[in-house]
Amino acid sequence: MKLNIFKMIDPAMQKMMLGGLVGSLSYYADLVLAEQAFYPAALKARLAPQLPRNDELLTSIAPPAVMYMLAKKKPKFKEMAKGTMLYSAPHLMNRIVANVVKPATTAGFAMNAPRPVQVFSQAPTNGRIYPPATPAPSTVVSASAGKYR
Amino acid sequence: MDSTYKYMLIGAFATGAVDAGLDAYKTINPAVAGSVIYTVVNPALPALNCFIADAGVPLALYAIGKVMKKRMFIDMAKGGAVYGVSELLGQTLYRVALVAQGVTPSYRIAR
Repeated sequence: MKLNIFKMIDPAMQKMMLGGLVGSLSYYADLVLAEQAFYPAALKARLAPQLPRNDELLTSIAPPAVMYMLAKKKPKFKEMAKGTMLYSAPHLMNRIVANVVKPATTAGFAMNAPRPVQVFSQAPTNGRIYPPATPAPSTVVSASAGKYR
Repeated sequence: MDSTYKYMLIGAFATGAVDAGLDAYKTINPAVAGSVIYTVVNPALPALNCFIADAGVPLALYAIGKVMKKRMFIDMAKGGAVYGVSELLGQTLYRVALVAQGVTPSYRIAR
């Protein structure tokens, strides 16, 4: 008995799966290339620290755009274009979330990270420095001059 | 946009959100890296949290749809499956390619 899981799903879903794989493989093929030495540095740059790298943006946006352009000319690519969008849009969201979270943690906001010791150059009161044993001056001022002496 | 595709998109985004949430939780809280859900069985395979998000969420949605007899959840499960299967396959191929080259994955999957 032959078990072909791919044939168990309906043809529209098969095409969507293929579309999703097109998006996924283009993204990860780019990441494999990015590990090589010859990869251009401009593609590894970022437009903003919260955004994924330029190559990631390109490989997340280009496949659905190309597939939708193909689908306008040849309707048989319509389901594949939908599948590519089903992969690429949530994946781009995933990458943006990762890039928003990462700078926050590297800036020292990690939940279990040890709290940094805060060193004050002076006591945060009124600008005057008192030795620890000396009580702060009272706010009550004795009447030594003026009308209510 | 037809309603089937709309629910598929919702399912794909739900799966992606769980995936992103689990990754973000590990980034924010590095102490959980050694816990069970972030286990890496083999360097050529994705971590367990990827399987939980990318396969678990569509399966859960499908089960809910079957139990409640709601077409909406089945469509959401299909959308989640398109995202999850593609992500798992892509990430596995990526890891296999890097392991075969002897390159340490420096950027995307230091997890």
